[in-house]
Amino acid sequence: MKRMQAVVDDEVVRRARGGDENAFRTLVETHSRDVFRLAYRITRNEEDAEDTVQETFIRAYRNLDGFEARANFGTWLYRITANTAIDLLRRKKRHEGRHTPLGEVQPGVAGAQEGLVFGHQVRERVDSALVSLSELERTAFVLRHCEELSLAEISSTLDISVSATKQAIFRAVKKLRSSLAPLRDVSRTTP
Amino acid sequence: MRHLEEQALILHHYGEGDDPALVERHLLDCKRCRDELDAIGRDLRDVGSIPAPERGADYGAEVWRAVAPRLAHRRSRRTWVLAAAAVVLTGTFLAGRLSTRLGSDIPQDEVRERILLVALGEHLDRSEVLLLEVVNTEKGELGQEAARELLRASRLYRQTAHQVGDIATGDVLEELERLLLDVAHGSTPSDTLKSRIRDRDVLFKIRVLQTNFKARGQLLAPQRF
Ligand SMILES: [Zn+2]
Repeated sequence: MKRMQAVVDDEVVRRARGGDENAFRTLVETHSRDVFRLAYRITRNEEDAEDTVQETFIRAYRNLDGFEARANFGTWLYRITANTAIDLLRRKKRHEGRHTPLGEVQPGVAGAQEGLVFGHQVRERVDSALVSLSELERTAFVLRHCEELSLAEISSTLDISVSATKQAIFRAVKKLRSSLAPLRDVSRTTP
Repeated sequence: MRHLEEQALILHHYGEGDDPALVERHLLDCKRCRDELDAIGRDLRDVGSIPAPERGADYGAEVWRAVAPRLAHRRSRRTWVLAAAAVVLTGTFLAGRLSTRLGSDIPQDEVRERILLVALGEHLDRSEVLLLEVVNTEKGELGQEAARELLRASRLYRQTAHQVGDIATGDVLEELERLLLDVAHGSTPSDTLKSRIRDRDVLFKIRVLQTNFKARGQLLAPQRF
């Protein structure tokens, strides 16, 4: 997915900051689907993603005063989403030593369209590699790879250094690549 | 030849390399690194967009319905800010004391709200101490004068809370007010008073309020106070 598509009217944010509930409602209605998509990519689970969406808007509402007018509302909301999703996953892990069953992962849309066994295999491997990443690795990777945030933006979003951001992304890419490596050896004969 | 490391190639793929020109020069001369960059590109293309289930057009409205009832906190916080000025007028000594502690670059709304929060916090602290004394001492007449003083302030805060629709705070203040009234009159038997305080969990409720106020205070410029 690209960056948040919706161009948020500054006026709406300003009114929401002034305590106008309808303005905040507009923000929720505009951004929910994008927030859900990001939350799902980080949590890999619909229920967790739903919880993240709600928690994100509640946090956003409570912290509207901390939103600087110079910033982009969508980016600010993404920041809250990413951190809320990470918090939720860590909380869950503490509680239940969580492992997402692979069956929960949605089959890839692209793979299904091609209808190729190979495509499905790729999707499956990518999905299980994504699950095996740490929350931080996955979030940093998703923000770079899907949301196309810069390293500097990711580092400020996750409140870690740029070099820690790079390391998280490197580790993610390495794990994803090695999960695909076995398929490469097979596919070399069938381009 | 020293080849490029995988990390440098990954950064290059994402357009985030420290020295893209240097990498490009190397790639021109080195098939092995070019192949490696291609492989990275292919792998990351296969990773693709990481599909997520789509939500329908009315999803936003659905989220709003779930979230709206949980937004009361900020709503009351905002209105408390507006009401703060009135309350603060009655405690100008506090305003004076605090404005020297707060920097001049802080918005007036914030200053007012923090003054209110501090004043309310102190009020609850003093009420808590008084009620604890009542619970823990044998003699019943203790603290009548202090109770009368606290009663006046408590009424004011309770009226403000109800005016701004902060029902939760208003309710606790109302309960507190009833107990303070009992203490101030000195006519309720000591044991009855003690069990009223214990049975209604008033001390616990006061502590919850204090925790909330502290959290609100920290939300407003935590590093400055
Ligand atoms: Zn090379």
